[in-house]
Amino acid sequence: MKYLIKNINVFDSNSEIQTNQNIYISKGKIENFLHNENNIDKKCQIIDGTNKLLVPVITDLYSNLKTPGEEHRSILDQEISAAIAGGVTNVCCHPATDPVLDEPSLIKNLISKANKIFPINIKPFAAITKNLAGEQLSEMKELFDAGAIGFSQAEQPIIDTKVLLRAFEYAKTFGFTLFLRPAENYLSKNTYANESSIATRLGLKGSNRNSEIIEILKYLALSKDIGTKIHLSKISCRESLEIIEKAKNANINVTCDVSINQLLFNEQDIDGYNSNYHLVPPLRSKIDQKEIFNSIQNDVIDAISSDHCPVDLDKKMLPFEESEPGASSFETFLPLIFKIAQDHQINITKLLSKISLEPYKILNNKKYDLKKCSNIDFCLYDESLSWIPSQSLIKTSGKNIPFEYELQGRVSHTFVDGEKIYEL
Amino acid sequence: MHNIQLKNGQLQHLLCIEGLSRRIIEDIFARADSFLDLENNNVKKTDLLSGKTICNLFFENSTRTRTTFEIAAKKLSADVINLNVSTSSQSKGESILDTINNLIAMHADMFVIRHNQSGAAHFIAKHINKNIKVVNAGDGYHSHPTQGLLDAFTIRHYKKDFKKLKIAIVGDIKHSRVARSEINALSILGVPEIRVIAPQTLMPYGVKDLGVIPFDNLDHGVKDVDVIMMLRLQKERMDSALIPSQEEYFKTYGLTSKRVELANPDCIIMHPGPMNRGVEIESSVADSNKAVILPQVSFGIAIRMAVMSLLMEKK
Repeated sequence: MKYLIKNINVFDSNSEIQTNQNIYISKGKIENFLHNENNIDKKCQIIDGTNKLLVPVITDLYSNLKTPGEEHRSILDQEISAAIAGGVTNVCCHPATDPVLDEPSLIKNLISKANKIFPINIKPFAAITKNLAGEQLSEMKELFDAGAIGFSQAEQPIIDTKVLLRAFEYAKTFGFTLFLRPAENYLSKNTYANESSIATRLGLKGSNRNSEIIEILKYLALSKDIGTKIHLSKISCRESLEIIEKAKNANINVTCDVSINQLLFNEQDIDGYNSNYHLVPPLRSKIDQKEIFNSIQNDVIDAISSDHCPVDLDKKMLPFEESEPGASSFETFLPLIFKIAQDHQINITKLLSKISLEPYKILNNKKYDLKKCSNIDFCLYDESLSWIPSQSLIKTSGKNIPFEYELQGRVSHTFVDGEKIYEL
Repeated sequence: MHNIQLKNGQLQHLLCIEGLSRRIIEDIFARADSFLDLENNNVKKTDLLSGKTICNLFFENSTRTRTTFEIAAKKLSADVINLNVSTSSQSKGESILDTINNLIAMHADMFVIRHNQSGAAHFIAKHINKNIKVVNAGDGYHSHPTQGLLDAFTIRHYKKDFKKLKIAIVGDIKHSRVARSEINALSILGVPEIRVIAPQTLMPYGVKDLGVIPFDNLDHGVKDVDVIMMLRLQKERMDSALIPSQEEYFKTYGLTSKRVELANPDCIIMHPGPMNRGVEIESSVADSNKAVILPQVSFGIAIRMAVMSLLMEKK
């Protein structure tokens, strides 16, 4: 199919917005940024780009598709549909599934199942250790060949430091990236809130910030020594950002992301015990949040992840600590990025690059070139649409969205490999 | 926090002390006074809650608190159902809300709830029919409001003016819902100096923000205080490396008669029970004439009667 998108604003590969473009897409790629319409196929589909922004290759570095494991709820169909409706074309999902993604057949199966639903780019992280048990390394090379984009322990840190060191060495052998969510096992286990006077007042078991800091220091020491490329997921503490900044200045091969939840909410939101704010890592303080924004501005933080995690309503309808952590965010990801830009007066291009070009580069070690790419992925974001992400409107199986306010802007079209696969 | 226990300034549920006005607390005290007067005049029962059904729903083991709630309800002529949930439907996989809704269908009017999860009583109050009342009988580390009220009521009985008191709370502050409720109640009542005394391992993070002065030395902490409120040290704290041994704890944080001498001469000593003699308190102190531990228990019944009758009162 060929498409002509008229009068569209384009967030381009140089992180700049080009206004009022006419884009002609043919054979999966952009044929031309047109100044006139003489050389186009008259049968092409014309899309009015007024009020819309083209955002290429939204790439989410942390999500939970709960597949395999919850197929009985047709969860994969719903989560893939949610990703597409949110314009997320590249989905990295973590391996803490049932069974754990630690075998090549499971990786292949997941990708193939997802592609039968929509031709989306599923990029699974395989488990670093078998069954995430932290004892025996998984067959990283086989898993990579089967389609794993990187390796992760999801929320289960490797306790045995010797196994961790071996994982770093083995990953380095093949040039694989380890995607690590820093949380020291003993300090993070059975904690539900940021350790602070708010947690104290509410009687919730607090997560000590040293849990994150200690683990990051360990990872950086190993990366510095061995040279393994690491990506630190869902950073939440200001001290961590200071350490990462120093590590980057010392040329350690490290990148990091922050969950969008840490940008939207802080620990004060757990007051009232709303289990939709039960998240991992826990929501931190306003001071941490401020430092996270600073670190986005100065590029210590490379990416923003959706941290999408659908949770069944029954598992949220429980006292705070008993409830399952997580928030659904695929469909609200892009509108919330715009809201954050507006509320915190951050340049939107900075934030857009953190959900698209930057994470793409982390995964692929190369820049995404919209003009030269032979199979372009992008979405169209209609800034004129306002909507409330109510349970009936969203496609994800998890109705656990922690807010009920109106959002301005919504994804109207999603394209993968130059083909339209979603239209609102 | 949005205070769901209040509506137009009136108490709908008793979930925690935080957010209550001094007027509400004083109302509860005045009611408790009237119930004590009845008791002193040998009136054992009133019919204020006749025909009402109160469910004691204890998701966590308790003998003392459950019994005092039961006595209080029976003195108000309510019908009382005791449910030990850990041995019933919850162990069969039923959710809390399903359990509660089943009991509502059986026409319960009030739930007295104890749960090991902080916020459990809030959760239940938020999700049940508005005509049903909830009293929190202890939720995780968060709150034990009737204990906080009865402790403040006991202090009021022995000391004239809250605004002139120095009060020390000693022990496992970190894991204590009683300490949090006491701090809230005493702050609302205007106590100018509340001290909390514990080793750092048993002191919660950011405790100063609760409006208290932390001490890690018991001798310094009890100096010149008017009230010493001891907390029970649970044995499992030793297993989680919070303190090295009972012996060392007693040496450094046990209340001995020698330490009591550092406080004001007319100081009173309190303990919510059950006590660990020789761990947090010396027997001679627990049995001394400064100890008001048994009156606390009696006042507890009056306070619980006051809370239940206030909540069930037709507005």
